[in-house]
Amino acid sequence: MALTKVTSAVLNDNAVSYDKLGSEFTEAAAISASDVDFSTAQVFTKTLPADDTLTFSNVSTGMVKDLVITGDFALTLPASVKVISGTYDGTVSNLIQIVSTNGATEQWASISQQAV
Amino acid sequence: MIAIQHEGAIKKFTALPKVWTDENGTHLNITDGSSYGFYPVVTPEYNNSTQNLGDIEWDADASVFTYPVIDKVWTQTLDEMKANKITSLKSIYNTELSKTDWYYIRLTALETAVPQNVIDKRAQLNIDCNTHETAINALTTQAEVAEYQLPSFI
Repeated sequence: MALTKVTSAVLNDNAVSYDKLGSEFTEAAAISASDVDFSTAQVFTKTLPADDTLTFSNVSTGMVKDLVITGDFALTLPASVKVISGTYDGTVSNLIQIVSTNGATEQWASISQQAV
Repeated sequence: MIAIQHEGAIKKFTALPKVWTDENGTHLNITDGSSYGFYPVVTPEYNNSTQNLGDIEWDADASVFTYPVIDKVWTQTLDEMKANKITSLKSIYNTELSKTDWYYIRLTALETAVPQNVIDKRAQLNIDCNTHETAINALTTQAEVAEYQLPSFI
């Protein structure tokens, strides 16, 4: 079976459109159960029904994900997450941006809310 | 004030932290601190003249962090403490007496009589100072000397 090789002739500069990106870069998904699967969507949403502990899966270095979470309960992220700035306010929607700097070992988070 | 035992030490906070990371994760929006190991810090009543507070410690019976009350160990002898207390006493009364010294300077320079109420007040100050000195000399323990309250004229 012949291998298909992507060359500059096949994939021109500036040729990868948004439509061609995988769902992990374009989709928004509700967090089912409590696992955030980094390979499935770009944006994850959840309304906390009670105190909750999220887990991360399929995390690779360089991945950047957005969690939009609300619900006035205690939220626990993996211990690998280091919060850079911001605090969680359960009374409004929180944008928690996660950047992995070392696979599943280390991620950095910033937490913000809509300006009022 | 609250505290938590973490990584072999007790860490104190003025309020529950907004973000807390432990071996179980990075916790946000904590409201029930005890679920994470945060408990109140209770400062026991103590006499700071004769006692000190030790290092903060966990009181498992009361589920609080608190401090042991430790009796002070005096470096001065009883007699030295009495002498220092009396020195302070005399300094206080000297300051108070000095407020009316000018009447006697005026008496010397101008032969203007010192008012009787000033004479009486100074006499009473001397009596009071002697009374305190006698009381201090009668004390029998270092703690009693440390606790002895000197008068204040402020």
